[in-house]
Amino acid sequence: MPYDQQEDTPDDALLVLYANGDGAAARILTLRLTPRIFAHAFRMLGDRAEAEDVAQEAMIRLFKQAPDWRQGEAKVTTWLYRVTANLCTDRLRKSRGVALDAIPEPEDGAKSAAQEMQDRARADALQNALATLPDRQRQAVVLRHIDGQSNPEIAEIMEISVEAVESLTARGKRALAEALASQRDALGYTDG
Amino acid sequence: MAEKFDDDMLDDLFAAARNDSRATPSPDLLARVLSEAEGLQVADPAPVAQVVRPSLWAAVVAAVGGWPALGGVAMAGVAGVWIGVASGTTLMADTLGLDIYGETAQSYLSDLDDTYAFDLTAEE
Repeated sequence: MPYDQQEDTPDDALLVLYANGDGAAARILTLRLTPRIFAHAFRMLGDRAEAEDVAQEAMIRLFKQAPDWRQGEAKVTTWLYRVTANLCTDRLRKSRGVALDAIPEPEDGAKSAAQEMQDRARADALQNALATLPDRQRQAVVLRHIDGQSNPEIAEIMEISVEAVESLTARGKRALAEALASQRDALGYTDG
Repeated sequence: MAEKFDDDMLDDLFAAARNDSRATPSPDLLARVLSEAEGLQVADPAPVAQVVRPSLWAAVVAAVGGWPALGGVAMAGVAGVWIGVASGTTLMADTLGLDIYGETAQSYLSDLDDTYAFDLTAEE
């Protein structure tokens, strides 16, 4: 079942409805936005429990902000990604040096065991490689290439210029390629 | 060439990351967030527009067409009294019109109604 059953209602309109006591708006916002920021936090932190805490805190801040939200001024997702990124940065600073390999066991899926294992190995390899990047590079790469945000949106989220975003993502991708160079064969990538 | 290979590999890895089930929130997290959202709504309800109920008098005024119409009704009443008084005995019985309007004759309320007269015997 899809998380979002009412894709035609903009986030900011839902936020105003929420502020006016609309229970359905609370449910739709929760189901629409929590998965996005949880995924972002997980890719930034590499830890589900930490990502859950961050996602919950970011959503609470959004709901508290709802009565004062000025419709049409800022995108809700931009604001939310910014809050999430700041919360992630705070946690990374506090827990710098903690290993990122304490990733939970895989859940059941419909794919074959071999495919599942390879996908998992690739996701783990990328996650570990992402963890080697400086925070801002990682944030830009995750937002651009995994979360699918546009460069102007990322510029707003990170409060930098579009050129700076392009520079961060380019450097980030080069660094990722270098970090993964030794694992190409193991991950099933052969340069033919 | 190597750069193209790296780009393809990274694109594939990014796609794998997007499909990574570990990046999907647990139902428990969603339930907690929803519970927080509902709790904040109850704790800090937003102001809603007051429903104003009209009084009975306001409803009556509105029913006859509002204050302008009510002014017309009042004016018609005053005009009716004036016409009755000014017409003397033509429209009003006895000499009530003249008694009120007349300039020469003395008019006493006691002539119109005995209950307005002093009861001089009461003090004796």
